[in-house]
Amino acid sequence: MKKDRNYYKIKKAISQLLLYVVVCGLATVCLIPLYWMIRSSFMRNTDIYVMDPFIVWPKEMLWSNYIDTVNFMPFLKYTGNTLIILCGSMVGVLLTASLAAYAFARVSWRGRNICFFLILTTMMLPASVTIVPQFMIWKNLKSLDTYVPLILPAFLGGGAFNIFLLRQFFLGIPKDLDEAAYIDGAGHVRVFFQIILPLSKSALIVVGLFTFLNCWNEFFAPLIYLSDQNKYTLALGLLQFRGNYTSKWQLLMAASTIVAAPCILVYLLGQRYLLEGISMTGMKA
Amino acid sequence: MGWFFVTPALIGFLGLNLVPMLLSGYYSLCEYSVLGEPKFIGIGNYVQLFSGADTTFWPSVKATVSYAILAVPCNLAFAFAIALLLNRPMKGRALFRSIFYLPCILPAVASSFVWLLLMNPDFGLLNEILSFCHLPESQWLWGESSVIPSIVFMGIWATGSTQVIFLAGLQNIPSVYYEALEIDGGNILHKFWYVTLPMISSTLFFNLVMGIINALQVFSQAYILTDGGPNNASLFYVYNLWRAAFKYMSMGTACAMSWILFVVVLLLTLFVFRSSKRWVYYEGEG
Amino acid sequence: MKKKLIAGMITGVMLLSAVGCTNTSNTGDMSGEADKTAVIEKADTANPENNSDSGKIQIRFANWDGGDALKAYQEICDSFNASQDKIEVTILNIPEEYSTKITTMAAAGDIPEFCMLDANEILFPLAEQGYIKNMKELIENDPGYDESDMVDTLKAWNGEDFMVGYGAGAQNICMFYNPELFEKYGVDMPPATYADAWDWETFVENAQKLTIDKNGNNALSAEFDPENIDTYGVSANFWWAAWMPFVISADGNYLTEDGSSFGMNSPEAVNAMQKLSDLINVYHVMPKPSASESLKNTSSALATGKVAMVIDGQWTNNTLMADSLKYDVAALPKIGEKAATIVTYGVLCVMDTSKADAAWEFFKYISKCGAAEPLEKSGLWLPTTKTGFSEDYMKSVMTPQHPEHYYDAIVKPMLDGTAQPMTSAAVKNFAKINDLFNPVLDKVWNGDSNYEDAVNSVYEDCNKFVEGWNY
Repeated sequence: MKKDRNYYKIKKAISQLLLYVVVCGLATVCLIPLYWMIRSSFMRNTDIYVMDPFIVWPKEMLWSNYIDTVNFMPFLKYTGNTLIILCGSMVGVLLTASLAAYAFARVSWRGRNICFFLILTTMMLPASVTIVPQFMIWKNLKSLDTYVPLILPAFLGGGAFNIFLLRQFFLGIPKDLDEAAYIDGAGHVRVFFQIILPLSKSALIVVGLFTFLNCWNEFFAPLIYLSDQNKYTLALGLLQFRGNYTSKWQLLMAASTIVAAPCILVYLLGQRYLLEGISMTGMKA
Repeated sequence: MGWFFVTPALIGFLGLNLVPMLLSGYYSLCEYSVLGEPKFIGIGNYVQLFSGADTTFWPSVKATVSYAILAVPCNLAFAFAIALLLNRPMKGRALFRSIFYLPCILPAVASSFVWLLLMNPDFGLLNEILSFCHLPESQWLWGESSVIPSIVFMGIWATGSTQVIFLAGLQNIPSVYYEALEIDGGNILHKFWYVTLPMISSTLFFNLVMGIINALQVFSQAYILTDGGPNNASLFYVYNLWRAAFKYMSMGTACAMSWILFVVVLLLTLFVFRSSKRWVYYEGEG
Repeated sequence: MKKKLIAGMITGVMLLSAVGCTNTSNTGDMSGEADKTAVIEKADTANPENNSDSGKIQIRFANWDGGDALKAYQEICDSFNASQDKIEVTILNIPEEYSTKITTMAAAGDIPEFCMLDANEILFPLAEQGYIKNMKELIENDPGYDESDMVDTLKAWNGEDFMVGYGAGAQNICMFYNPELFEKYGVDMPPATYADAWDWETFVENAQKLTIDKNGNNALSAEFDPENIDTYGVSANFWWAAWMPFVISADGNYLTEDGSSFGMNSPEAVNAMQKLSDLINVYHVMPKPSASESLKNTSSALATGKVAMVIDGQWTNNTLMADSLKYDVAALPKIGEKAATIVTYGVLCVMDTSKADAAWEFFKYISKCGAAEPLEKSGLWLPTTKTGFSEDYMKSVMTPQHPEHYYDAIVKPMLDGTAQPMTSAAVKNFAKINDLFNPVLDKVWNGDSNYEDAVNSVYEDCNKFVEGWNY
């Protein structure tokens, strides 16, 4: 019996060790791009190419790259612009995507499946062929060079991806909960707000996280719909570091670092809530 | 009541998507340069594509299909494995989760540049490692046969979103199920097979559908890294379509290509949805 | 909740009406209003707010450049706006997906009034659809303008009588080298002027002397190990502008002389292209070219001391000068009788809008000698006027950071006939032809095929799209 317990202890320790080795190994690969980006942001452009690029840390830290970067790009303005789009989209997506997802997961009505599929089809045509007519629509709404084309779609369903994702999560919530509520005389609106939404915190946080990162890094729609440089977003500003003929990679990397930093921070913070939200649903279910 | 909840989404669909989609369908039957007026020509664009008169069509189909066949299972398996690993209790788990998500956060210009340097056949670190281990070196992105696997290899590190969705799904599994199985004497495999898999199937289904839709529309790697080369080996379908639309100004051809893609993706998605009744388990349904 | 629903409904109705508008305007256009100018005029009247309250004519200058060039554009616009009180120029910077945005704007009848366009992308489609003003007419109608200062190789034509635009940010292809490696291995420095350019045998031999394997043997030695090369003699990123100088030097060209068929399978072109492939696969003096045109950074390899000579565009000077590297520039080697290089540039176009006159005024301002002086000083751009290429002017912009032979190797060839017109602007349908041709070159550089077989495998396909020279 004693021997047995030791055996299990050792076995557990070994498997735990193996787990760490594997996870650390894989994590290293994921860290390489970050490491490389930060390191390059302190170097002279031509030094970036000196081989054995992953061992070398710059001998001389060129903080001036960051000064040049900040001088070139109006970070504060671009961040402000990005935040406007971000906040608008976030509210819109969380509200309307979850509404639609609820209808597709929890309410039975005629035409539900067809309607759901129609919404899914919007993901199946490449943007290259729909962008011109879409541009015309926004032009007729006189909303070119404003944030309307970038925010309003979030309030109109928030994208098929988010609807689909939330639908899958709502489908996983046991039905007895809402049935009990119906017996108590609750309607769909109450079930949605008082049962489904609180139980889907983790899924909503996931959707919020994706929306955040999407808005932060998305360049295509802002590029097409905005013209005034004062309205540009961070992702567009980042692209402005690349010239046609030459790229100052060290500045591009410094700018990338500045742009990525808040994202990383938000993820590190959001990570906690992600865990929290999930453990709560686990308890209730 | 259902209609009430989907009203915003439906307005979005009808107002912003439906007309552009139908128009692109109409343009696919036209000779249309975007800059000029569309001229109706019937199925001419489709004939030209399928007959191979447009010599890049079939190579681009081949590149995309071989990418999708490799990428969809690889991405799913890798993301699922990482999610399972990171779902185990261990110290610094939150930190590790963030690290695995990092490649998705970094701007694409930064990460693609580092991969280009890593994969350089002459100076890159990957070949240094291979030769150190006495393994044959690879041409990576520069080789006709290695470019697709290289892009897939790069892709699996950027599956953070898929991992997060899997993780959220895993965390939603009530621990009582595992405990019940433990009492019945089930081992780790039993737990995986009888609890984890059925409970995660709806998440898996989501990731599979999205994986297929995204893989068949792969674009940015060709756009940023390879320009479709070497020798058209990574001439992805949507990249080729984009070139037709905005480089050669044949929007008609591009629309025809999109509708072919649309039908294929739609049929595949329908097929997965149909089959899902057999293997996807929703707690809410039963 | 009900309020929300009502608000939603209203938005919906708005959107649907908007869609209706698009539809009717589209069918309207379809019903045979082929006259492009009519469409454009219509668009202009639809945008009255463009003429702002200040009473100035508002025009937009669309460009794709980032970094220093964007900064210089801003300075040019500011000083232009300050110099007169009738026109106000704003910058429309499109750092990515340039042709997607311009095409979309054009389709919506809202093309920017003054554009920089890429000959390899939408320049010619726009010209053919009547979106671009004929610059030849603008010049003729402006007696005050001195055309004689324009450089012929920087004029872009669509047929004999239609000048679509004029170059900005002129560049050519040249050779960069690391003098330390030349000294170390006792090789003569490459000649700076094109008249003295190395012939091909000398070039290959010197490249061999400069290619060193891990054991310290050079490529001429019997013990040379091509699998483990430490220092390469040459490096280049073989996009079309990098190989065209050698094809032209060997007396070949992209099309046959009469423009009736694809010229890259002529014996002259085959000779040149096979020689380039041999650098990689026979002599092992050059690494395989980069997979991507979008990361043209081979030149930076110069800084690592792992490459002795680099063939690349003159804009590379900007990077190398900024880091104060020790390097110099030289003439490209020749294959036939005469050495050649090739010019590249972005094309400045006055678009066919009601504000074309204002755009023309701005063109005159931005293209005059000295307008882009900061970019010339930093080595990013070459001038675009004859005055600009003169020794006097160049002396005023050349800094101590410029490499010693900058004038001889880079500036002089722009006027003496060595620098050939940009192929992408000279050949009709270039974008389409080259996208068919370029992929097979990967096989050639990779050593999987000889050049002649490769070009013949796509010759017929390429030929289908040949429509002759643009001038």
